[in-house]
Amino acid sequence: MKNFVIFLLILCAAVSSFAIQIGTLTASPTFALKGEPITLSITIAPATEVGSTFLMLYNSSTESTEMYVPTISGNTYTWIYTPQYVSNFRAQVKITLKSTSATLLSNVATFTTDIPAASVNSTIAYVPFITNATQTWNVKATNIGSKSLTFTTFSSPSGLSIFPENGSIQPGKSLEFKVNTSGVFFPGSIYRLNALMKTNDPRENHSQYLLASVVMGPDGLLMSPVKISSFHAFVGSDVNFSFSIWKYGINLNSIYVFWNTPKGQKIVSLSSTPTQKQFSSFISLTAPGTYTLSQIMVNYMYNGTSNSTTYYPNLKVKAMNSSNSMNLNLVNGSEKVGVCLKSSSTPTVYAIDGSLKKELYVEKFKTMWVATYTYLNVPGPVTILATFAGTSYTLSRSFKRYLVVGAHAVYFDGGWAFLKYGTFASPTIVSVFSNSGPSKSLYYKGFLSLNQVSNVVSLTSESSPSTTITYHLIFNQSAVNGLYDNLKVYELTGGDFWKLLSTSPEVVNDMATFGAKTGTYTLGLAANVNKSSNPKIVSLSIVPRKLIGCGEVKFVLVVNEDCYYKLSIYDMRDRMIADQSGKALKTLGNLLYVLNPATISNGLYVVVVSVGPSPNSITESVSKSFVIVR
Amino acid sequence: MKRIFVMIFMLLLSVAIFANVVDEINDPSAYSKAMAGAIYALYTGPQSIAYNPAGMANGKSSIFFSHIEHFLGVIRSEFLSGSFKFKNFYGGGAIQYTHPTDQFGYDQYKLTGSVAYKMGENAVGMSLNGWFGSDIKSGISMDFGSIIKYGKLNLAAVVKNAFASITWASSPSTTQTYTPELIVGGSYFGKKYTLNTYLNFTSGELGFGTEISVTSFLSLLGGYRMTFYKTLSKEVSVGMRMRYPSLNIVIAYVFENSLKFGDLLNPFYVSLTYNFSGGI
Repeated sequence: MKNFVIFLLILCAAVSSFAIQIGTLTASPTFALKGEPITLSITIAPATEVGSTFLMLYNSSTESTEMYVPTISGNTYTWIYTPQYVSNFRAQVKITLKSTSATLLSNVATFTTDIPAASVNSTIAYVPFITNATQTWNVKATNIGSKSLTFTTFSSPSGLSIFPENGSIQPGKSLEFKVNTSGVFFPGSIYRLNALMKTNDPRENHSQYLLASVVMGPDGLLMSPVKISSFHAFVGSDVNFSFSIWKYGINLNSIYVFWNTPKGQKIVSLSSTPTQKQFSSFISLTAPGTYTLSQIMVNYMYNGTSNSTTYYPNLKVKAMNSSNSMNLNLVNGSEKVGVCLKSSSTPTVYAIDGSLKKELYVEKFKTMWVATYTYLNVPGPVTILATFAGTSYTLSRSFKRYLVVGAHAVYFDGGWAFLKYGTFASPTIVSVFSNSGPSKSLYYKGFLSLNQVSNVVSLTSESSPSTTITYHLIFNQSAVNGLYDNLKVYELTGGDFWKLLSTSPEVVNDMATFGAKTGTYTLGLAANVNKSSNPKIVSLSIVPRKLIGCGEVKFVLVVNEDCYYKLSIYDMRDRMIADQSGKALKTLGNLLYVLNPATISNGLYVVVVSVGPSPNSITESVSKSFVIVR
Repeated sequence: MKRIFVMIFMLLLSVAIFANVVDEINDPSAYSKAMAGAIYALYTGPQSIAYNPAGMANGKSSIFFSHIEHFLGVIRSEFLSGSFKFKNFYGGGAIQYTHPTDQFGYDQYKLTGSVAYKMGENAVGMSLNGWFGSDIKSGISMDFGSIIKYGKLNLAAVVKNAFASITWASSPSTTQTYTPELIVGGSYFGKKYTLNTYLNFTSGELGFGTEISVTSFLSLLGGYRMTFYKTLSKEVSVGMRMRYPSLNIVIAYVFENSLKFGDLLNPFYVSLTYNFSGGI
């Protein structure tokens, strides 16, 4: 019986003990710095069964366990623990029951103070006036934890650059971040930008830190980068520059562009209108060297006060010695001089003929500027002067007119030409194109002058010693007019003197081929006619004989001696649709005439060509038919 | 006085249009060539088909042939025409063949059918022309003409190559249209001579010609012509007309731009006319 009673008591105690409800022991926060309180709590019900409770806290750094009594509120037992060590902690609650004196244990809760942790002195900046200038802010961050703090930085939204972009900070160390504005901010808007740092700080809501918060605008003055038309240009040309200015809340007063030129500083003033954004101007390159666009000064009114801001584009333009050149061509047998000018800018060309100064009409022909002047039939110099707008740079060439009296031989030094006895009627004006310098360098370029019919070509032999190079020059067929045998090769010597070479070019169609050393060469035409007594027509060719569709009809004459020719083209009504006379040479093909049939009717036509020893005598004629069927 | 007025009028109109005209030998008659083309106001029978269809109304039925060698013989042209009289009506036709001789393949044919009606001393006429050849696919035009007698003066007005359109065998073929030619002519009849002129406003041709009767069967002809085209061209022409019963033979020789080429470029014309009904 006694044993039965004891059994019942034990059974009751067991039943009583199993009636206790023990909750989960929690620690909050689980990551904290030392000195920061940690709250540990557990619920135990019913409270009437609880005899005593203790928190057993194990400190891994000290390897000790301490007991703590709770603060009881109803069924909740709470411990506020402030760790004084950097350590990892484990906690467990020991419960003793009233009725049975039995001891129960809770679960184990852990927390740590061994963490990386950041501390940032954030910066908040307000920039009401937007400029081109880059703003910089320094922000200091410290690792106040006990482990290495890793980080990455970024801008939200973009517009700020942060340095460094990523890395780590050792415990107890600090790092200074540089925050710069890096975007283009147009005045007129308000920009809100944040420089942020993302870290491995495990504490709740501590993974991202604000380094800097920047608010910009809306007022301001922003200038675009300066555009330059060319960074390498020739003296005599203009270099254009342009830029844009965006502004808000200000009024522009004046804009000055400073150029450092080889001849000193040049300031270009730009005018502006209230709504103008685009600004452009130019600088004329007047001397070789470096032109530096050093600064642009903008003066403006803001909030009733005058302000000034300066930009430093520091753009350099290299001005090279100009490739501009001018050549004169004295037209045989006339009082005309052709001016051929190579220039990258539009020239103004004057002829200074004694006391007469006349501006010439200039036409652009491909890369050349050409003009013609009919000079006075008096002795003396004629200067052709080319000027360029906005520059003091000029080009000039002169030729001289001599009065040759008497039928005597005339010799111009330099080996250029020996004029035979009786070349000129007496008296006559002979024009001579001379380069500047002593009289010894007087060269004859008048009658028998160089009539340039091709471009100029310059080649350099890369071999040492220099070898002969084969030159190919395409010439103007209509200018040669069939006088292929009179095509000569000229070499540029002394800068502007064309020297006749003994080399004869090989001519095929409109291309002349010849061999020469390194140098600058061109093709010229000497169209002197030797008198003959009884010229004959060897052949007259019409190409094509029957023109079907579009095209031109060319008339080519071959004669046995140098002579004069007359050409007429008739339709079937005996109407003369073309008429030409000139000189034909003993050569394989004098291109007499090129007929453009666009303005005549389809049908049958006849060309009649006569030749003779003088312009007004005819010794032979031939006629040939041809057909136009467009 | 009125004649002077007419001459002044013609001179005032001598500003030519120089438009695109048909490229053809439009002066195939030696008789005309010797008088610088100035036969537009004359009744010359079947050869008038090439000039003024009203000129067919000369009161006869005839056949006409002309051979032309031009430009140093490079161009040859044969012209054959005929006309017949039926009361006051005249009908006629012509074929003209033009070709170069200098080893070159080009042929041009022109076929013409004409009618004329005579009213007393005046007449009107019209022609229908067709072209074809080695480089011509087809072509067509019309001529209209009139001759009005006014005392000793004949006046002529002609529109040649009206509605002219020729399709050429180009690649691809092209059709070219031409400006109608407005021509006025005049002839004055003296006792033993005629003075003749014409002016083609469109092509810029102006000619003066005369015929002087030496005997009943021989006349001398002469003319001077200018063409005001892109380059002024001038020619002096002479000729001789021999008349046998029912047969006319005319030989013409032209000094074309003689100051320029001497006598090297002169065309030679010879024409034969046979009148079935006799007379000239």
